[in-house]
Amino acid sequence: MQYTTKRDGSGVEATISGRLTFTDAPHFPQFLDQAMKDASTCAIDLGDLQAIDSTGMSLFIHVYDLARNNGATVVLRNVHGQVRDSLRRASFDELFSFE
Amino acid sequence: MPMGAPADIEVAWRGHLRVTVFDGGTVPDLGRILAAGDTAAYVDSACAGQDRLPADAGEFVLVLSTAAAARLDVADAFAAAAGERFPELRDDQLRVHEALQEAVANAVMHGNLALDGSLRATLSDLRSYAAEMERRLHDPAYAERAVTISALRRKQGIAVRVEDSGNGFTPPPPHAFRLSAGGGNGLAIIRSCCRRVTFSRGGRRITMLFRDSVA
Repeated sequence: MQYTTKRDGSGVEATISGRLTFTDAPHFPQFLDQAMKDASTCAIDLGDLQAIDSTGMSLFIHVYDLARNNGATVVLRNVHGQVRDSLRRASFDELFSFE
Repeated sequence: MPMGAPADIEVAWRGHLRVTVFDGGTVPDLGRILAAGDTAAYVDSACAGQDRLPADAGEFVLVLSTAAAARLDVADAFAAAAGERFPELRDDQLRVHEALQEAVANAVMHGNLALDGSLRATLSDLRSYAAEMERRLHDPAYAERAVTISALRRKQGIAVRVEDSGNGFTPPPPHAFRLSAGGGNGLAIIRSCCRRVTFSRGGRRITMLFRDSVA
């Protein structure tokens, strides 16, 4: 997993690319800190995310939990292919807006 | 060694078997290693003990350390190599890949690293979990434990097995996918990808049977 974050006030634009799998668990808290801390809106572009496994999805639940606790809005952008299929099958569209 | 084989593999004899040996700590691309060799078994030299080599004719075996299994894209490499050896798997390649990804994750995280996924359910738990995972991946007592993956043609289809060297577990009854930061969905995904799933060796080995598309 590679990621970028760009902050403009309390708005954050982030990207996650590569593969989000069990091997990324040790690094995911850093992403959460950079993308979600004090954010009121966060748009996460998954256009270059090629694959996600069940651990990757469970890590993503922390994005939802943090947003809910902080009253923030999260939008997932450009979700496609296997990642879109996996997230839809896991009912992520009940947690996040997809654009 | 086959013509044009990369310099970072070595073909050696283990008893009467020719095996391809590689250093799982340094190879950048497991797919290239599996594609380059022409043996039935591939063994990571950084892996501790108990190398399980092919027990049956035609069995394709990969043995690698936990650290290598966490670093390399094992599911992608093995699914592609198994598709070359068992052409009837090609129609199921995506399902094989998805199931293998979950099975290898279970073998590494729950089996060999002995980490309980439910302990990352909150963000503070996730931080502790992440630190402990990183520590164990650098502790030879955990990092060198073997993960063994194999594929074998059976009458009913192709059996793909993943075996860890951990303490074993009692598989939970099947359940539908549920949203949870604590995980627990790997087996649900595996079951959705395979014809049949069985456990043996105290839960250390999962056998996933895939459709044989050649009637």
